[in-house]
Amino acid sequence: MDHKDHIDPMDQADHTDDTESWARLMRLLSPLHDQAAATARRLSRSAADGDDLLQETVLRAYEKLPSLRDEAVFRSWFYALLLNAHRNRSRRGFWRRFLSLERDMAPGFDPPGEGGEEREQERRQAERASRVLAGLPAVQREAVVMFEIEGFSVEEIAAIQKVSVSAVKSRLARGHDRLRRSYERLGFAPTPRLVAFRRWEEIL
Amino acid sequence: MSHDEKNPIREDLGALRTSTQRNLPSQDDTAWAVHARRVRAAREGITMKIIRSISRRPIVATAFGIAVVAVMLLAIPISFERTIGYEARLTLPSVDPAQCEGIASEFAKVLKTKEFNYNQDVKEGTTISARVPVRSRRVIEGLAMAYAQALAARGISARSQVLPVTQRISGNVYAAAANEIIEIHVSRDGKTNEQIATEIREQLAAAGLPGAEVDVTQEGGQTRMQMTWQCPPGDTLACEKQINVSIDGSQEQQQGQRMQFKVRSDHPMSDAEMKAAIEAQIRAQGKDADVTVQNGKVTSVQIRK
Repeated sequence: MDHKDHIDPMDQADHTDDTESWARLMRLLSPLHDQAAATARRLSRSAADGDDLLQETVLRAYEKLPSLRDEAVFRSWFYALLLNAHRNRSRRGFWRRFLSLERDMAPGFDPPGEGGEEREQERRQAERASRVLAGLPAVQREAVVMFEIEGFSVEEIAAIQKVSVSAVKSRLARGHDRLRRSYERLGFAPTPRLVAFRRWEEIL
Repeated sequence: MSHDEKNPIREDLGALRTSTQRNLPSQDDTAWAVHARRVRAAREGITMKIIRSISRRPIVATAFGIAVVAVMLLAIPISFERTIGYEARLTLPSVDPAQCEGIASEFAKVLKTKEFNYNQDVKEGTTISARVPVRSRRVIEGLAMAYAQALAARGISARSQVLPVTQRISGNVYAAAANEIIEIHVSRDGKTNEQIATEIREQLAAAGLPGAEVDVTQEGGQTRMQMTWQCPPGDTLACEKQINVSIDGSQEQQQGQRMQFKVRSDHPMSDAEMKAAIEAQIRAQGKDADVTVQNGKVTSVQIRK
Protein backbone atom coordinates (compact mmCIF):
# COMPACT_ATOMS: atom_id res chain seq x y z
CA MET A 1 0.00 0.00 0.00
CA ASP A 2 1.35 3.43 -0.93
CA HIS A 3 1.98 5.54 2.14
CA LYS A 4 -0.08 8.32 0.57
CA ASP A 5 -3.17 6.10 0.85
CA HIS A 6 -3.29 6.14 4.61
CA ILE A 7 -1.97 9.57 5.55
CA ASP A 8 -4.30 12.45 5.13
CA PRO A 9 -2.27 15.64 4.63
CA MET A 10 -4.97 17.63 6.32
CA ASP A 11 -5.46 15.45 9.38
CA GLN A 12 -3.06 17.60 11.33
CA ALA A 13 -4.04 20.82 9.60
CA ASP A 14 -7.78 20.85 9.68
CA HIS A 15 -8.06 24.45 10.78
CA THR A 16 -8.38 27.05 8.08
CA ASP A 17 -5.36 28.96 9.35
CA ASP A 18 -3.20 25.86 9.14
CA THR A 19 -4.39 25.11 5.63
CA GLU A 20 -3.69 28.63 4.50
CA SER A 21 -0.32 28.61 6.13
CA TRP A 22 0.59 25.30 4.49
CA ALA A 23 -0.60 26.53 1.09
CA ARG A 24 1.44 29.69 1.51
CA LEU A 25 4.56 27.66 2.34
CA MET A 26 4.08 25.38 -0.64
CA ARG A 27 3.67 28.37 -2.92
CA LEU A 28 6.82 30.05 -1.64
CA LEU A 29 8.79 26.80 -1.68
CA SER A 30 7.79 25.82 -5.19
CA PRO A 31 10.52 27.71 -7.15
CA LEU A 32 13.11 26.75 -4.57
CA HIS A 33 12.27 23.14 -3.77
CA ASP A 34 14.55 21.31 -6.18
CA GLN A 35 17.57 23.45 -5.43
CA ALA A 36 16.99 23.11 -1.68
CA ALA A 37 16.58 19.33 -2.06
CA ALA A 38 19.89 19.14 -3.95
CA THR A 39 21.64 21.36 -1.38
CA ALA A 40 20.35 19.17 1.44
CA ARG A 41 21.77 16.08 -0.28
CA ARG A 42 25.10 17.82 -0.87
CA LEU A 43 25.38 18.67 2.80
CA SER A 44 24.58 15.10 3.83
CA ARG A 45 26.34 11.76 3.58
CA SER A 46 23.57 10.07 1.63
CA ALA A 47 20.56 10.92 -0.48
CA ALA A 48 18.24 9.56 2.21
CA ASP A 49 19.89 11.75 4.85
CA GLY A 50 19.60 14.74 2.54
CA ASP A 51 15.88 14.15 1.93
CA ASP A 52 15.37 13.77 5.66
CA LEU A 53 17.15 17.09 6.24
CA LEU A 54 14.91 18.80 3.70
CA GLN A 55 11.77 17.41 5.34
CA GLU A 56 12.92 18.58 8.75
CA THR A 57 13.56 22.05 7.31
CA VAL A 58 10.14 22.23 5.65
CA LEU A 59 8.51 21.23 8.92
CA ARG A 60 10.48 23.92 10.76
CA ALA A 61 9.56 26.45 8.08
CA TYR A 62 5.88 25.59 8.47
CA GLU A 63 6.09 26.17 12.23
CA LYS A 64 7.93 29.45 11.82
CA LEU A 65 6.13 30.79 8.77
CA PRO A 66 3.94 33.26 10.71
CA SER A 67 7.16 35.09 11.68
CA LEU A 68 8.08 35.66 8.00
CA ARG A 69 6.88 39.16 7.16
CA ASP A 70 8.68 39.83 3.88
CA GLU A 71 8.16 37.05 1.35
CA ALA A 72 10.91 38.53 -0.82
CA VAL A 73 13.51 37.18 1.60
CA PHE A 74 11.98 33.68 1.71
CA ARG A 75 14.95 32.10 -0.09
CA SER A 76 17.59 33.23 2.40
CA TRP A 77 15.14 32.64 5.30
CA PHE A 78 14.52 29.06 4.19
CA TYR A 79 18.21 28.41 3.60
CA ALA A 80 19.02 29.76 7.07
CA LEU A 81 16.57 27.18 8.48
CA LEU A 82 18.14 24.49 6.32
CA LEU A 83 21.64 25.26 7.58
CA ASN A 84 20.38 25.45 11.13
CA ALA A 85 18.80 22.00 10.84
CA HIS A 86 22.01 20.74 9.22
CA ARG A 87 24.07 21.97 12.19
CA ASN A 88 21.66 20.35 14.64
CA ARG A 89 21.99 17.08 12.78
CA SER A 90 25.78 17.39 12.78
CA ARG A 91 25.66 17.68 16.56
CA ARG A 92 23.44 14.63 16.70
CA GLY A 93 26.08 12.86 14.64
CA PHE A 94 28.37 13.25 17.67
CA TRP A 95 26.56 10.29 19.28
CA ARG A 96 26.62 8.16 16.15
CA ARG A 97 30.39 7.90 16.22
CA PHE A 98 30.04 5.96 19.49
CA LEU A 99 27.20 3.80 18.28
CA SER A 100 27.68 2.42 14.83
CA LEU A 101 29.64 2.60 11.63
CA GLU A 102 26.55 1.67 9.68
CA ARG A 103 25.93 5.22 8.58
CA ASP A 104 29.41 5.62 7.15
CA MET A 105 29.06 2.37 5.29
CA ALA A 106 25.66 3.18 3.84
CA PRO A 107 25.57 3.77 0.11
CA GLY A 108 26.04 7.42 -0.63
CA PHE A 109 24.00 8.15 -3.72
CA ASP A 110 21.73 6.50 -6.18
CA PRO A 111 23.23 3.77 -8.34
CA PRO A 112 24.14 4.73 -11.87
CA GLY A 113 21.45 2.80 -13.73
CA GLU A 114 21.92 2.69 -17.49
CA GLY A 115 24.60 5.38 -17.73
CA GLY A 116 27.42 2.87 -17.75
CA GLU A 117 31.00 3.55 -16.81
CA GLU A 118 30.74 7.31 -16.94
CA ARG A 119 27.95 7.29 -14.38
CA GLU A 120 29.83 4.86 -12.18
CA GLN A 121 32.89 7.08 -12.31
CA GLU A 122 30.75 10.09 -11.42
CA ARG A 123 29.18 8.20 -8.53
CA ARG A 124 32.58 7.32 -7.14
CA GLN A 125 33.77 10.91 -7.43
CA ALA A 126 30.60 12.26 -5.81
CA GLU A 127 30.91 9.78 -2.99
CA ARG A 128 34.53 10.78 -2.41
CA ALA A 129 33.62 14.48 -2.37
CA SER A 130 30.78 13.75 0.02
CA ARG A 131 33.03 11.77 2.33
CA VAL A 132 35.70 14.47 2.38
CA LEU A 133 33.12 17.23 2.92
CA ALA A 134 31.72 15.25 5.86
CA GLY A 135 35.12 15.62 7.53
CA LEU A 136 34.78 19.41 7.64
CA PRO A 137 33.21 21.25 10.58
CA ALA A 138 29.53 21.92 9.77
CA VAL A 139 29.92 25.67 9.17
CA GLN A 140 32.88 25.18 6.83
CA ARG A 141 31.05 22.41 4.95
CA GLU A 142 28.07 24.73 4.50
CA ALA A 143 30.25 27.58 3.26
CA VAL A 144 32.09 25.40 0.75
CA VAL A 145 28.94 23.71 -0.58
CA MET A 146 26.99 26.96 -0.85
CA PHE A 147 29.89 28.78 -2.52
CA GLU A 148 31.50 26.14 -4.72
CA ILE A 149 28.48 24.06 -5.71
CA GLU A 150 25.38 26.18 -5.20
CA GLY A 151 26.95 29.36 -6.56
CA PHE A 152 25.93 31.67 -3.72
CA SER A 153 28.00 34.83 -3.25
CA VAL A 154 30.02 35.40 -0.10
CA GLU A 155 27.57 38.16 0.89
CA GLU A 156 24.56 35.85 0.45
CA ILE A 157 26.20 33.14 2.53
CA ALA A 158 27.00 35.72 5.23
CA ALA A 159 23.32 36.70 5.36
CA ILE A 160 22.18 33.07 5.52
CA GLN A 161 24.76 31.98 8.10
CA LYS A 162 24.16 35.24 10.01
CA VAL A 163 27.87 36.09 10.23
CA SER A 164 30.13 38.75 8.72
CA VAL A 165 31.53 38.55 5.21
CA SER A 166 35.05 38.14 6.59
CA ALA A 167 33.89 35.22 8.75
CA VAL A 168 32.53 33.49 5.65
CA LYS A 169 35.79 34.13 3.80
CA SER A 170 37.68 32.65 6.70
CA ARG A 171 35.41 29.58 6.76
CA LEU A 172 35.87 29.14 3.04
CA ALA A 173 39.64 29.48 3.23
CA ARG A 174 39.87 26.97 6.08
CA GLY A 175 37.41 24.62 4.39
CA HIS A 176 39.38 24.77 1.16
CA ASP A 177 42.63 24.05 2.98
CA ARG A 178 41.13 21.09 4.79
CA LEU A 179 39.72 19.71 1.55
CA ARG A 180 43.13 20.00 -0.13
CA ARG A 181 44.83 18.28 2.78
CA SER A 182 42.22 15.50 2.76
CA TYR A 183 42.83 14.88 -0.93
CA GLU A 184 46.57 14.81 -0.35
CA ARG A 185 46.01 12.19 2.34
CA LEU A 186 43.99 10.20 -0.20
CA GLY A 187 47.09 10.10 -2.38
CA PHE A 188 46.39 12.97 -4.79
CA ALA A 189 49.18 15.39 -5.67
CA PRO A 190 49.08 18.76 -3.85
CA THR A 191 46.94 21.22 -5.75
CA PRO A 192 47.21 25.03 -5.63
CA ARG A 193 44.04 26.73 -4.36
CA LEU A 194 43.56 28.56 -7.66
CA VAL A 195 43.40 25.26 -9.51
CA ALA A 196 41.43 23.32 -6.93
CA PHE A 197 38.62 25.84 -6.53
CA ARG A 198 36.78 27.45 -9.37
CA ARG A 199 35.96 30.64 -7.45
CA TRP A 200 38.98 30.97 -5.18
CA GLU A 201 39.88 34.42 -6.53
CA GLU A 202 36.50 35.79 -5.41
CA ILE A 203 37.32 35.33 -1.77
CA LEU A 204 40.75 36.94 -1.87
CA MET B 1 49.22 25.68 -14.33
CA SER B 2 46.10 27.34 -15.72
CA HIS B 3 42.95 28.09 -13.75
CA ASP B 4 40.88 25.89 -16.03
CA GLU B 5 43.06 22.87 -15.59
CA LYS B 6 41.21 19.81 -14.32
CA ASN B 7 41.97 18.55 -10.87
CA PRO B 8 40.40 15.94 -8.59
CA ILE B 9 38.81 18.34 -6.10
CA ARG B 10 37.12 20.40 -8.75
CA GLU B 11 36.02 17.30 -10.68
CA ASP B 12 34.67 15.58 -7.56
CA LEU B 13 32.70 18.66 -6.50
CA GLY B 14 31.32 18.85 -10.06
CA ALA B 15 30.33 15.16 -9.88
CA LEU B 16 28.63 15.79 -6.54
CA ARG B 17 26.73 18.70 -8.08
CA THR B 18 25.53 16.60 -11.01
CA SER B 19 24.71 13.38 -9.17
CA THR B 20 22.70 15.09 -6.44
CA GLN B 21 20.47 16.73 -9.02
CA ARG B 22 19.14 13.42 -10.26
CA ASN B 23 16.06 11.66 -8.91
CA LEU B 24 15.19 14.51 -6.58
CA PRO B 25 11.95 14.12 -4.63
CA SER B 26 9.07 16.15 -5.99
CA GLN B 27 7.55 18.85 -3.84
CA ASP B 28 4.51 16.61 -3.34
CA ASP B 29 6.71 13.80 -2.08
CA THR B 30 8.33 16.19 0.38
CA ALA B 31 4.93 17.48 1.50
CA TRP B 32 3.63 13.97 2.17
CA ALA B 33 6.77 13.02 4.05
CA VAL B 34 6.51 16.16 6.20
CA HIS B 35 2.92 15.34 7.08
CA ALA B 36 3.92 11.81 8.01
CA ARG B 37 6.56 13.26 10.33
CA ARG B 38 4.00 15.55 11.91
CA VAL B 39 1.70 12.63 12.59
CA ARG B 40 4.58 10.66 14.14
CA ALA B 41 5.65 13.67 16.22
CA ALA B 42 2.10 14.15 17.51
CA ARG B 43 2.01 10.52 18.68
CA GLU B 44 5.46 10.70 20.23
CA GLY B 45 5.63 10.71 24.02
CA ILE B 46 7.33 13.34 26.16
CA THR B 47 10.27 10.97 26.84
CA MET B 48 11.12 10.70 23.15
CA LYS B 49 10.85 14.47 22.81
CA ILE B 50 13.30 14.97 25.69
CA ILE B 51 15.71 12.37 24.29
CA ARG B 52 15.52 14.00 20.87
CA SER B 53 16.13 17.43 22.37
CA ILE B 54 19.11 16.23 24.45
CA SER B 55 20.65 14.33 21.55
CA ARG B 56 20.92 17.63 19.69
CA ARG B 57 23.05 19.09 22.50
CA PRO B 58 25.97 16.78 23.24
CA ILE B 59 27.62 19.12 25.75
CA VAL B 60 24.41 19.56 27.74
CA ALA B 61 23.80 15.82 27.52
CA THR B 62 27.32 15.07 28.78
CA ALA B 63 26.95 17.52 31.69
CA PHE B 64 23.54 16.02 32.48
CA GLY B 65 25.03 12.52 32.42
CA ILE B 66 27.87 13.50 34.76
CA ALA B 67 25.40 15.13 37.15
CA VAL B 68 23.24 12.00 37.16
CA VAL B 69 26.27 9.80 37.87
CA ALA B 70 27.41 12.15 40.67
CA VAL B 71 23.97 12.06 42.29
CA MET B 72 23.87 8.27 41.97
CA LEU B 73 27.29 7.94 43.58
CA LEU B 74 26.15 10.03 46.51
CA ALA B 75 22.69 8.52 46.82
CA ILE B 76 23.16 4.83 46.03
CA PRO B 77 24.88 2.88 48.80
CA ILE B 78 27.85 0.78 47.87
CA SER B 79 29.41 -1.94 49.90
CA PHE B 80 33.02 -1.51 50.96
CA GLU B 81 35.42 -3.09 53.42
CA ARG B 82 37.20 -1.34 56.22
CA THR B 83 39.92 -2.68 58.48
CA ILE B 84 38.80 -2.93 62.08
CA GLY B 85 41.85 -4.70 63.48
CA TYR B 86 44.55 -7.26 62.83
CA GLU B 87 45.09 -10.88 63.63
CA ALA B 88 48.72 -11.66 64.44
CA ARG B 89 49.57 -15.33 64.04
CA LEU B 90 52.53 -17.18 65.36
CA THR B 91 53.11 -20.66 63.96
CA LEU B 92 55.29 -22.96 66.03
CA PRO B 93 55.97 -26.19 64.09
CA SER B 94 57.56 -28.03 66.99
CA VAL B 95 56.91 -26.84 70.45
CA ASP B 96 56.23 -28.59 73.68
CA PRO B 97 52.44 -28.33 74.29
CA ALA B 98 53.15 -27.43 77.89
CA GLN B 99 54.94 -24.25 76.72
CA CYS B 100 52.09 -23.07 74.49
CA GLU B 101 50.09 -21.30 77.17
CA GLY B 102 53.12 -19.31 78.32
CA ILE B 103 54.21 -18.35 74.79
CA ALA B 104 50.67 -17.33 73.85
CA SER B 105 50.30 -15.01 76.84
CA GLU B 106 53.77 -13.54 76.19
CA PHE B 107 52.86 -12.94 72.57
CA ALA B 108 49.61 -11.24 73.60
CA LYS B 109 51.48 -9.10 76.12
CA VAL B 110 53.97 -7.97 73.46
CA LEU B 111 51.07 -7.00 71.24
CA LYS B 112 49.30 -5.34 74.16
CA THR B 113 46.12 -7.32 73.76
CA LYS B 114 44.15 -9.68 75.91
CA GLU B 115 42.36 -11.45 73.07
CA PHE B 116 44.30 -14.53 72.08
CA ASN B 117 43.89 -18.25 71.55
CA TYR B 118 45.97 -21.14 70.33
CA ASN B 119 45.32 -24.21 68.31
CA GLN B 120 47.36 -27.37 68.17
CA ASP B 121 47.49 -29.44 65.01
CA VAL B 122 49.49 -32.60 64.43
CA LYS B 123 50.58 -31.58 60.95
CA GLU B 124 50.86 -27.78 61.18
CA GLY B 125 52.05 -27.53 64.75
CA THR B 126 50.77 -24.88 67.13
CA THR B 127 49.20 -21.65 65.88
CA ILE B 128 48.76 -18.78 68.31
CA SER B 129 46.37 -16.05 67.18
CA ALA B 130 46.09 -12.67 68.86
CA ARG B 131 43.45 -10.13 67.90
CA VAL B 132 44.79 -6.58 67.94
CA PRO B 133 42.63 -3.45 67.55
CA VAL B 134 43.42 -1.08 64.68
CA ARG B 135 46.97 0.23 64.81
CA SER B 136 49.71 0.54 62.24
CA ARG B 137 50.10 -2.80 60.52
CA ARG B 138 53.84 -2.26 60.22
CA VAL B 139 54.13 -1.82 63.99
CA ILE B 140 52.21 -5.04 64.63
CA GLU B 141 54.27 -6.90 62.04
CA GLY B 142 57.45 -5.53 63.61
CA LEU B 143 56.40 -6.61 67.10
CA ALA B 144 55.31 -10.09 65.95
CA MET B 145 58.53 -10.59 64.01
CA ALA B 146 60.65 -9.37 66.90
CA TYR B 147 58.92 -11.84 69.22
CA ALA B 148 59.43 -14.67 66.71
CA GLN B 149 63.14 -13.78 66.62
CA ALA B 150 63.26 -13.70 70.42
CA LEU B 151 61.75 -17.21 70.46
CA ALA B 152 64.32 -18.36 67.90
CA ALA B 153 67.05 -17.07 70.23
CA ARG B 154 65.53 -19.32 72.89
CA GLY B 155 65.69 -22.26 70.48
CA ILE B 156 62.01 -22.27 69.52
CA SER B 157 61.33 -22.07 65.81
CA ALA B 158 58.44 -19.68 65.02
CA ARG B 159 56.94 -17.94 61.99
CA SER B 160 54.86 -14.74 62.30
CA GLN B 161 52.09 -13.46 60.07
CA VAL B 162 49.72 -10.49 60.36
CA LEU B 163 46.34 -10.47 58.61
CA PRO B 164 43.82 -7.63 58.56
CA VAL B 165 40.41 -8.19 60.10
CA THR B 166 37.91 -6.44 57.88
CA GLN B 167 34.30 -5.49 58.20
CA ARG B 168 31.99 -5.02 55.21
CA ILE B 169 29.84 -1.94 55.56
CA SER B 170 27.50 -0.07 53.31
CA GLY B 171 27.64 3.63 52.47
CA ASN B 172 27.86 6.00 49.54
CA VAL B 173 31.08 6.77 47.70
CA TYR B 174 31.56 9.98 49.64
CA ALA B 175 31.28 8.08 52.91
CA ALA B 176 33.79 5.51 51.64
CA ALA B 177 36.28 8.26 50.79
CA ALA B 178 35.57 10.21 53.96
CA ASN B 179 36.26 7.04 55.92
CA GLU B 180 39.89 7.25 54.88
CA ILE B 181 40.89 10.89 54.62
CA ILE B 182 40.37 14.10 56.54
CA GLU B 183 41.25 17.16 54.51
CA ILE B 184 42.31 20.27 56.42
CA HIS B 185 42.75 23.52 54.51
CA VAL B 186 44.10 26.66 56.15
CA SER B 187 45.49 29.89 54.80
CA ARG B 188 48.26 31.84 56.50
CA ASP B 189 46.97 35.22 55.42
CA GLY B 190 48.82 37.12 58.19
CA LYS B 191 47.69 34.73 60.92
CA THR B 192 49.82 33.83 63.89
CA ASN B 193 50.86 30.23 64.49
CA GLU B 194 48.33 30.00 67.31
CA GLN B 195 45.52 31.21 65.03
CA ILE B 196 46.49 28.59 62.42
CA ALA B 197 46.54 25.93 65.15
CA THR B 198 43.09 27.00 66.32
CA GLU B 199 41.77 26.80 62.77
CA ILE B 200 43.18 23.26 62.34
CA ARG B 201 41.69 22.24 65.71
CA GLU B 202 38.27 23.49 64.64
CA GLN B 203 38.45 21.63 61.34
CA LEU B 204 39.54 18.43 63.06
CA ALA B 205 36.64 18.76 65.48
CA ALA B 206 34.25 19.28 62.56
CA ALA B 207 35.68 16.10 60.98
CA GLY B 208 34.92 14.06 64.07
CA LEU B 209 38.15 14.42 66.08
CA PRO B 210 37.29 16.81 68.90
CA GLY B 211 39.78 17.85 71.55
CA ALA B 212 42.85 17.58 69.33
CA GLU B 213 45.99 19.33 70.47
CA VAL B 214 47.62 21.23 67.64
CA ASP B 215 50.92 22.99 67.84
CA VAL B 216 52.29 25.06 64.97
CA THR B 217 55.82 26.44 65.09
CA GLN B 218 58.26 27.96 62.64
CA GLU B 219 61.72 26.39 62.46
CA GLY B 220 64.32 27.71 60.03
CA GLY B 221 61.72 29.08 57.64
CA GLN B 222 59.70 25.85 57.72
CA THR B 223 56.39 25.21 59.36
CA ARG B 224 56.27 22.37 61.85
CA MET B 225 52.94 20.99 62.89
CA GLN B 226 52.28 18.59 65.69
CA MET B 227 48.82 17.19 66.09
CA THR B 228 47.74 14.92 68.92
CA TRP B 229 44.26 13.59 69.28
CA GLN B 230 42.42 10.85 71.07
CA CYS B 231 40.17 8.47 69.24
CA PRO B 232 36.56 9.16 70.18
CA PRO B 233 35.20 6.38 72.45
CA GLY B 234 33.98 3.45 70.37
CA ASP B 235 35.50 4.77 67.15
CA THR B 236 39.01 3.38 66.88
CA LEU B 237 38.81 3.90 63.11
CA ALA B 238 39.22 7.61 63.63
CA CYS B 239 42.86 6.90 64.44
CA GLU B 240 43.34 5.13 61.13
CA LYS B 241 42.30 8.12 59.05
CA GLN B 242 44.87 9.91 56.99
CA ILE B 243 44.94 13.63 57.68
CA ASN B 244 46.00 15.86 54.81
CA VAL B 245 46.81 19.43 55.79
CA SER B 246 47.30 22.12 53.20
CA ILE B 247 48.51 25.59 54.06
CA ASP B 248 47.88 28.26 51.42
CA GLY B 249 46.95 25.51 49.00
CA SER B 250 50.13 23.43 49.25
CA GLN B 251 50.14 20.05 50.94
CA GLU B 252 52.50 19.83 53.85
CA GLN B 253 53.60 16.30 53.07
CA GLN B 254 54.74 17.32 49.63
CA GLN B 255 57.18 19.80 51.12
CA GLY B 256 58.36 18.18 54.28
CA GLN B 257 58.41 14.98 56.25
CA ARG B 258 55.38 13.39 57.74
CA MET B 259 55.48 11.20 60.77
CA GLN B 260 52.55 9.59 62.45
CA PHE B 261 52.66 7.58 65.63
CA LYS B 262 50.10 6.32 68.09
CA VAL B 263 50.10 5.77 71.80
CA ARG B 264 47.36 3.77 73.41
CA SER B 265 45.72 5.68 76.22
CA ASP B 266 44.26 2.48 77.72
CA HIS B 267 47.78 1.25 78.48
CA PRO B 268 49.36 3.93 80.70
CA MET B 269 53.10 4.30 80.09
CA SER B 270 55.94 6.10 81.71
CA ASP B 271 57.65 8.89 79.75
CA ALA B 272 60.55 6.52 78.93
CA GLU B 273 58.19 3.78 77.71
CA MET B 274 56.28 6.28 75.62
CA LYS B 275 59.53 7.62 74.14
CA ALA B 276 60.64 4.07 73.27
CA ALA B 277 57.25 3.18 71.76
CA ILE B 278 57.18 6.31 69.62
CA GLU B 279 60.77 5.91 68.46
CA ALA B 280 59.99 2.28 67.53
CA GLN B 281 57.02 3.44 65.47
CA ILE B 282 59.13 6.07 63.73
CA ARG B 283 61.80 3.45 63.03
CA ALA B 284 59.08 1.29 61.50
CA GLN B 285 58.37 4.23 59.17
CA GLY B 286 62.00 4.16 58.03
CA LYS B 287 63.43 7.06 60.08
CA ASP B 288 65.47 7.49 63.22
CA ALA B 289 64.38 10.12 65.70
CA ASP B 290 65.07 11.51 69.15
CA VAL B 291 61.78 11.93 70.94
CA THR B 292 61.40 13.92 74.13
CA VAL B 293 58.42 13.13 76.34
CA GLN B 294 57.62 15.11 79.45
CA ASN B 295 54.70 14.31 81.75
CA GLY B 296 53.07 12.09 79.15
CA LYS B 297 53.33 14.65 76.37
CA VAL B 298 55.60 14.68 73.36
CA THR B 299 57.55 17.93 73.51
CA SER B 300 59.92 17.41 70.57
CA VAL B 301 60.71 15.02 67.77
CA GLN B 302 64.11 15.43 66.11
CA ILE B 303 64.50 13.34 62.99
CA ARG B 304 68.07 12.12 62.49
CA LYS B 305 69.36 12.04 58.93
